[in-house]
Amino acid sequence: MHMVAVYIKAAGAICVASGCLGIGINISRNYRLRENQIRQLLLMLQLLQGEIRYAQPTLPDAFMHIESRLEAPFSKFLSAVAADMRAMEGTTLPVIWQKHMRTELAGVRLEKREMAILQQLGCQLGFLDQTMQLETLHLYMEELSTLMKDYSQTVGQHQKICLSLSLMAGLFLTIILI
Amino acid sequence: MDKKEQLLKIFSPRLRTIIGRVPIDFEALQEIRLRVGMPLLIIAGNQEYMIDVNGGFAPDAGQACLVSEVEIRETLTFISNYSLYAYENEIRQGFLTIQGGHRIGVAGKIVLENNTVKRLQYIAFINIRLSHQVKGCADAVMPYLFHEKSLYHTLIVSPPRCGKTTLLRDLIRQISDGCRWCDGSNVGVVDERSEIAACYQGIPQNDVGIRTDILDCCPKAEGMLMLLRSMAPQIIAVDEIGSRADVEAIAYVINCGCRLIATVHGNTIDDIRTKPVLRKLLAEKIFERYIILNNQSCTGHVEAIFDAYGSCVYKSGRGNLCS
Repeated sequence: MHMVAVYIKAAGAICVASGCLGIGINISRNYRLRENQIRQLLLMLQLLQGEIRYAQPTLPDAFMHIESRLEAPFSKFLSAVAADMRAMEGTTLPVIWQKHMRTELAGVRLEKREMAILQQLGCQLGFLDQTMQLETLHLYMEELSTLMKDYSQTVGQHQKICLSLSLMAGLFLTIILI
Repeated sequence: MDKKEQLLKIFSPRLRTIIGRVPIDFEALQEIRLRVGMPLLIIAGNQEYMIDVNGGFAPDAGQACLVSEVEIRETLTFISNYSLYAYENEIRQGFLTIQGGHRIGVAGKIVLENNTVKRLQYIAFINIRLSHQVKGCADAVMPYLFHEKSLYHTLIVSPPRCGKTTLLRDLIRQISDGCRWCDGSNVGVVDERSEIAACYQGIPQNDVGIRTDILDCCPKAEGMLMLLRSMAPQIIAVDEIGSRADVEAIAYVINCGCRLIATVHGNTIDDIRTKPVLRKLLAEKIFERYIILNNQSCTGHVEAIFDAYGSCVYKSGRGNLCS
């Protein structure tokens, strides 16, 4: 009977510790996911810049050309924006852009700063001449690149801290509970 | 989506509601003019109408719907499909063509660089010219333009808004498809201002025939030579010739054995004689047929057709070519 209780306690301890570690791994994965999504955002701007520079298509056409080279949810976001723009229902681009940011990009791991850049971009597309349009895109790319660089430098550390803390929390809880 | 609905989508929300209510048949619509702070004007059946806020006809400017600056800006956004930069070159020339072949003229403040137009800023005036292809409008002139199924070099002379491009378009279509007067031929069109074929993203919005190749937005002189080199056309068609380079290219085209159809601004053949550059074409009898158009009884009224020696082969009154 005594041995059974020991086994149950040990199993509980393993469950608590692994649960905490699992939470840590998940948080750490989200850090990577965010990094990947900033990279996707950057890629989106680069592709858009290339399209505008070389082919000078309209924005809906450019979005449709580049969406296949992006991962979800950014590909879906661009398709949805392009579809709404082509419908020309009398809505301005910033409104269309924000609407689909809310619907298509609801689950992204991007933080406020990145989302703010993306939102501002929607207000700066479509007018001015080609040079100005390219310069605007370049500006946002620079901003995102800086963010990406800073983030990449710290993401490894954050992940390690996350994993260590979660493991320690698991062990601490186990000790307390035992 | 019908043509009217498609056109309405280029206007700002308020204007599309107002214009959508105007009791004018879409097919009769010729122009819609927007000017900042000025009444909304519609031209239909050669008659100008001021439009009020309910879409009815306003008796004077005071009761008409005034177009705001924001509405002009929004309309431009929709015209360019949210992408003004994509039409930078067209806007610099003062016009762009939209889906359906309609032509949008714009005016505003010009920004110069080295004495050339760099861009157009503060666009405050928009003129939407609706494209209505009139199939068969060239039927009546066809018998005068061929000799043993071979087309005469033809020049259409007409003042603005008298239907010269419409006539040219139908001539191209009939020659390209083939008709009673000729077998189908390869026609090369240099459409410098996108008026003939009204290409939208390279695709003709007007029916210009099954054997027609189009160089869209291409300078005429350069385009004629490019077509000769690349597409081996039997007939080349160009709109609104006038420069020295055009005349030189025409001489080259004719020497290559290509047949030519062109249009030029003018009221009579004497008008052409007064233009130093074009005078040479008449003196050398390069064109074998001159079609003179006006809008005396209707748009596209054929006043006369002359041969290279100035002899009249058709005179208005012998029959009504407008019908």
